[in-house]
Amino acid sequence: MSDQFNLARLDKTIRLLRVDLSAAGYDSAIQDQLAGIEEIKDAILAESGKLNLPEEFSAESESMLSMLAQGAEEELLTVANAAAGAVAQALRRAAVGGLKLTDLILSIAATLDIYEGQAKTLVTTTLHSLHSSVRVKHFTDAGVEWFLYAGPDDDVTREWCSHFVGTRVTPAILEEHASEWGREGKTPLRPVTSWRGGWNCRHELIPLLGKGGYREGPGK
Amino acid sequence: MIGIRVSMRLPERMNLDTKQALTLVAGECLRRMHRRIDEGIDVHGVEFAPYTESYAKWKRDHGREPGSAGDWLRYTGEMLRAHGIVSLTKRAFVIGFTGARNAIVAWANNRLRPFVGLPPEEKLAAIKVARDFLLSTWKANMQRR
Repeated sequence: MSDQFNLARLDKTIRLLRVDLSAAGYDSAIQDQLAGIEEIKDAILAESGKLNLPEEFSAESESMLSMLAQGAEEELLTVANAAAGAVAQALRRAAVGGLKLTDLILSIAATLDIYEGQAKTLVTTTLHSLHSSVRVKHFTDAGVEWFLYAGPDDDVTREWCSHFVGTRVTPAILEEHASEWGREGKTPLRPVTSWRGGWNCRHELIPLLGKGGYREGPGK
Repeated sequence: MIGIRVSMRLPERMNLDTKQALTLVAGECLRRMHRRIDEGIDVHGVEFAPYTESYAKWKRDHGREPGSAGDWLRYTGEMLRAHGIVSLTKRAFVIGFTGARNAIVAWANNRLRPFVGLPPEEKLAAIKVARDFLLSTWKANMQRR
């Protein structure tokens, strides 16, 4: 068997890979993600009793969770489709360039690794965003009005975050500015207390008693 | 477990929700711990050990500003985002890390740069601030009656 692809075999391989990707790997990742969220939801609901949170919070968090689950599912599908597209592209390049099969396999593996990383990031971010919302809700229920928008302000800080870093904010202020400074992407990342600046945001909301001596945000 | 535990008993005659009060104290403890971390000061009041040259370079190469405010102990920010109340009763609360992975990362970081905990004077100050806040809340409630 030749170890080089020809264009006739290429289309067939792409079709097979698309089927394989959705049937074997990425659909199950989606299911795992949903199962993980279900698990977290149960844990949070159990925890809400221990933390003496009002019942409406449980109902609210449930609806928030279903929104998160829906968003995560859509995003994962996008990731899976992008992975399939990237693999197809690698195959086309291989066909044109006469890449050896072994090199091609390595290239595809590397591509899939990247997308697997994205899928994992997505899962992690979703779960952490949930924790953030629970924390903020917990403190606001206890009477906290202001939060410090804490974290770094460096070259990789999003513009939106740099307007708030080091200032005191309320969830309402953050929501008010949710669509400014390039924050609103293809996904409506709400509530802002969950996502702050966006995916993988490095910032956090620290509760303040009173105004804590910090100036009010946004600050730039 | 890596974290701090603070207990506090409020006078019953104040008729305050103790869990609410302890949540506020916990918030103040969190704020103090994070401020100290941002300033690069450890739990003993000593400056954090500087990053190794190679790690600082790696951080710079990835757009970070090693040792700047808000940079200490953060790369993805995941560990410090996981820092919060992990247990709360009417008498006490525990501040720790959610998720086993974050707790392990925190434990490892804490070995190099002790950041988990509050010096006794900070702990008392946190309780005092919270007590004053609660006292003013209680007085305001009394005036409304």
